[in-house]
Amino acid sequence: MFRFQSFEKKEENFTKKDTPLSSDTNLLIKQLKEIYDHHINKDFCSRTLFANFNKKNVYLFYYASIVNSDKIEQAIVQPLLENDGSSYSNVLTNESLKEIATIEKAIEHINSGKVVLLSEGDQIAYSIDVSQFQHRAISQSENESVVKGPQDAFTESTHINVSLIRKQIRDKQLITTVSSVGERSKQDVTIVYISDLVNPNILKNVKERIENIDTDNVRNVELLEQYLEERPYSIFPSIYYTERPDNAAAFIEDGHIILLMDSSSACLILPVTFWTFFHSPEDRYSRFMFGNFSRLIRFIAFYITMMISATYVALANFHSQMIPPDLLLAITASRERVPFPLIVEVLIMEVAFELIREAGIRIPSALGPTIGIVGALILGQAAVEANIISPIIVIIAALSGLTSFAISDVSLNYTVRITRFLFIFAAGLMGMLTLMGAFLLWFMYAASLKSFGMRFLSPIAPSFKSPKDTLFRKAVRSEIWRPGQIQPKDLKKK
Amino acid sequence: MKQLLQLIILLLSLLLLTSCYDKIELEQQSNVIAIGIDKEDEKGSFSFTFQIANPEAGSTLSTIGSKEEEKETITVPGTDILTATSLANSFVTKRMVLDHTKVVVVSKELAESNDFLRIIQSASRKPEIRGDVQIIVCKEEASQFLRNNQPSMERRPHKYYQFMLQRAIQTGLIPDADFHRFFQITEGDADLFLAIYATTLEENEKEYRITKEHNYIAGQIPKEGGNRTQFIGSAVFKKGKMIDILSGQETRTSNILDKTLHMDNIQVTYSDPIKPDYQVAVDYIQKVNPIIDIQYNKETNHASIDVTVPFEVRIIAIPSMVNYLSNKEHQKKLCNTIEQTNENIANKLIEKSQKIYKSDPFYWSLYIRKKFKDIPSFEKANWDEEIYPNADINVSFQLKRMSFGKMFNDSRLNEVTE
Amino acid sequence: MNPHKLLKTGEMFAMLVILLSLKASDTTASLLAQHTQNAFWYMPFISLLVVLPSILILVHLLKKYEDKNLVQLIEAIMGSWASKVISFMIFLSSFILMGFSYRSYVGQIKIMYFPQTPTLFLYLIFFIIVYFAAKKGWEVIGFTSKIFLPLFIVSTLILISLTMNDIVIERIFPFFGSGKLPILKEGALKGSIFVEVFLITIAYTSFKKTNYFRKGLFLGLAFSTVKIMLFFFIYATLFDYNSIVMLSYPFHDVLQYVHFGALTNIETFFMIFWLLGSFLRYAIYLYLVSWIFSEIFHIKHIESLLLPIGFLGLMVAVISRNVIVSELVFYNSISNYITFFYIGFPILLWLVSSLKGEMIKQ
Repeated sequence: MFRFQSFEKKEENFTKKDTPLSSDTNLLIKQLKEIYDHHINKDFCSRTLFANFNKKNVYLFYYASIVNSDKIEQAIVQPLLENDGSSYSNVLTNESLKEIATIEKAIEHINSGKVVLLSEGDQIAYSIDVSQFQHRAISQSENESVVKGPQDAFTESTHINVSLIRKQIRDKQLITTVSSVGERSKQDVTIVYISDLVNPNILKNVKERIENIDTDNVRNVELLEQYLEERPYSIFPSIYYTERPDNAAAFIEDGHIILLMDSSSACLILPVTFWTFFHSPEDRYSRFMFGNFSRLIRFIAFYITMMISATYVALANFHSQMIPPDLLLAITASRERVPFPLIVEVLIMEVAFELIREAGIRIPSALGPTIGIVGALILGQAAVEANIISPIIVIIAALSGLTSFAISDVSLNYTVRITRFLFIFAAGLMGMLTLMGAFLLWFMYAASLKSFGMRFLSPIAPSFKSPKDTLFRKAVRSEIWRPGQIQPKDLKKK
Repeated sequence: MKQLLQLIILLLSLLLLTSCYDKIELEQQSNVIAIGIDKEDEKGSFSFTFQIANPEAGSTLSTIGSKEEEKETITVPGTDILTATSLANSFVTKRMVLDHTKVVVVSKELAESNDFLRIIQSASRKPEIRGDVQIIVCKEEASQFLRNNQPSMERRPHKYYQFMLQRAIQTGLIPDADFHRFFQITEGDADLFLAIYATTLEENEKEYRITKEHNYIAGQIPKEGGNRTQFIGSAVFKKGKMIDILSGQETRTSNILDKTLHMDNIQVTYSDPIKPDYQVAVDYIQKVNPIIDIQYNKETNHASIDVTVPFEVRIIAIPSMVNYLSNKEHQKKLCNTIEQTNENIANKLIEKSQKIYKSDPFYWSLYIRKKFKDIPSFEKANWDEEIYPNADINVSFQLKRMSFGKMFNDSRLNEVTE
Repeated sequence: MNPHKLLKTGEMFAMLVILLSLKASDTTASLLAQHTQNAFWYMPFISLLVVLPSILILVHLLKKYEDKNLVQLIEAIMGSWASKVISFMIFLSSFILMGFSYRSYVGQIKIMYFPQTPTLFLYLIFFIIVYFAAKKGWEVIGFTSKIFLPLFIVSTLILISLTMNDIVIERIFPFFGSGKLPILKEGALKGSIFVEVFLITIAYTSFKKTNYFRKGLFLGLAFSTVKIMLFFFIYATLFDYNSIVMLSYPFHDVLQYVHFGALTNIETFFMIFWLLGSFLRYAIYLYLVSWIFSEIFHIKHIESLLLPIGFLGLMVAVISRNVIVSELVFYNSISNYITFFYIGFPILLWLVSSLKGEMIKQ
């Protein structure tokens, strides 16, 4: 406990102001070692070398766990020991050699996997990038799988991720700038955009927001998303999260901005509209007819998953005249022995389905098949036979559960599932009257949302010059505009 | 966001507060499929019969026995349908819901009284009884009719009425007689309304000979087997009061002459012009509406009506073996017979309506409307009492096409037998 | 052109169509049929002809004075005192009409779908939904209207196609209904069908270009007139002239009558769209009335007025239910008076404006 407090104190001394490097190298070394608690921090390394070209002692500081030791030998140790030259920049020919003038910079560089090199008597330190953070190899996209289209997904390394994007956009104006976020642990957020397309106001807005994040550490984009968004309590997402580089590239080409971080295998895309969440990259890879067909199916699924349970409650409880007599009698017959009101029945099944779903995600994969047996058998078959629920409810719940999987986006999926419960309650209140009221308000709430200044339901309302890629898309050849709602610098696709 | 939260809380609290009002669970309601209305001896009091569908009948659920009755028929006295339903609840367990009512059955006795219009009008005030409910007039008491009606195939009542009426209306043997049409014609106060005529009583006392055409009314068809209920013919209503019964054939003719009614192909027989002992069976097809041309003289308030009915026939069977296919002469004769027969039937019906009913069951007042500028002058001219009974009406059926089906010629029966 | 304003022709068109064409579903049809019998179906056209000059004058003035909405325009032309009177008259009349349409819509919901629910409760639910909808602001109302309009049109087309089998064209004869003179008189008096066109000019400056407003206004007006007439035509051909007089809500009777093949009782399907439409219509109405009020008294936040004005409108509706037994009689006479006022005031504005112009020239 005591050590922790003293560390805080020390850190405070250094971070509050920029401290220039002392000319007394021994003092400097002592300071650095103290900052990093050299005697107990095992992976902090300091080495001393004798440089051949100026016959001075050179001190190296780095974290052994995040650097490539071979590279240190080749790029630093060997040249210093053997090569001749007039200055460090001549001797160390590594491209990432940088001069450092303050202790704060030195700390930042060490933390991000660089070697900081102190030369005896100099007031300038040097840093060489030899970082080697460990990460997975590129793997298949698991959560947004497609049948037709590239299969690779982002992995937990900005370098690789940028490379995946650049592979698809060979544009000289494709810019990757870096902003740092976090007070204590400085993390890099890589902002990727095409500079002669992106709307400068949005870019400025995004950069400001990243800079204004006031917290110790933002570890990855999943957390960054929550720091960036305007309405943390809204049920609609306002930033798109995807693990597919092809998806990211498509948005960059339309003038959107992509955010990447080192420890996330996904990126953030902004600004977005409702349609962004609704679409799947495969809609564009499939031909015009096929893509639009799957859009139509998805839209029906979207409607069913939100509305079917609520509609059933409204119809059965308030508007039974609408149900055809055959069905009405069948439902009535099955309900005669069920002890609960209809709305409770619906809620039991919907909650049960959500339980299966949540358990299915959390359950260790070896036990996976169990959930299917338990869910299908016990909840479906046995509950009906025990007269706890009527069979039609099983159909309704299964349908609304199944169709919810057609909404591939994780965020929108939650939106829809929460909305479903709101609608069920609304329908239970006064049937279609309140259900439609709730739907209207829900819809108007969506229409009033903005994502980084862009209206959530654009380009339909408000309308803009755009590819009109909304519920359906046009043929790829006849898309001549970029989405006008984000006001890109160059509206026309050549 | 705060608003949304507030709204959710508000909605949830409202949900808890309002448990009832119009909310009703399905199993707490009984669905009435047919309503029967009878006149009681006392003036202004009626008895109402409700036929309720039993949801558990025929259910595939293993826990429910399939032995249950399909329907329950109950009769209660009352002054209108609404009060009767609440009285019925003294022995029916659930709330009676009239939304799925398919037919209203009225006894002939009530239909012929002045009370009919009153009781029907009060029923239609309720949004539950819709415009597409069919009106059936039965010979016996409505309660008796509903109880006697025990179909063996379509045992569930809603299906029975749906299929039975749909098919019978298509063949034109009964009219399409829904509430909507009843009110349009009765309130329009110019034409006659035809309601479905049905009965469960078979008239065995009188020996009805087997007529060659469909010249029956319900109860007269000498059939064997099947349900004892017969739907054929129509009850004629003038100003909301029943005045006569039309036979199936007359009903069909009035369907043909009325362009607001639609019907399917029908199979009819005509006597063979060459060998009068035989009949020719044809498929009567009417693709276009009849052309009704009215010449109206304002001064004399006299109209002459030219009715042209273009139709087609397809010959189905020629039991007489006369060669109608290649023999032009014979063909022409057959053609004339068919046209003539139809015209005769139509003329008879028109004469009857002009002389006895003093109004038309064909909704022809629609055509005279064009001759008037405004409604006051139209109403003053008085179609049903003045114009129609005195009009010169000329009906001509025109056979536009005669086809012979898929056979060129029947096999020569004579040769085969020889 | 204002880059911060997002409303365009589409939104204007949708809002005006929703405001006007929903009249086809309320008591307007039977109100007209009381006096004109089966000629009521083309009454909206006569009414349109009567009010069209005034609408044109008003739009002309708005164009001339640029960047002024209805109340600001009246103020610019009439000076502060007289403008307050006229504007307040507009507010008052629209407010009362709002209360009445409120009553009418809740009445329809109650009679047709919730007969056992207390009316007050229905009022409250309707009000809560509409209030929150209006609170989202003018732009959002516009966007929503625009997105929902195609749904309304499609459902209308379905409904029309379902009635096709049952309509009898001959029922529109005798063409002049209850006589030429009564028709012309009634048509002229019911110019108030189009009163919303005058009200919506309060939003003149809220569009990206004022041109969008004018375009949307004329297109919407034409479309709504056709749509209303089409609906009235269906009522006139589906019901005989004696029957239509007895129906207070012919729209719902049509809904109850139509069937899709063997599927009967499908009115709930159309009720969905009708409900959405009436929520939106009332939200637009409430917003417009509050807007007029805020402009008259220079109150900045329209949103804060929605609750009191909406609630007072609710009071008008509730109280009028107790005071006025026959909605038809009262609504009939009030809509007649309002017609005169709305035809008159643009002409007055125009005269004063041109007189002023003359004076400046001299």
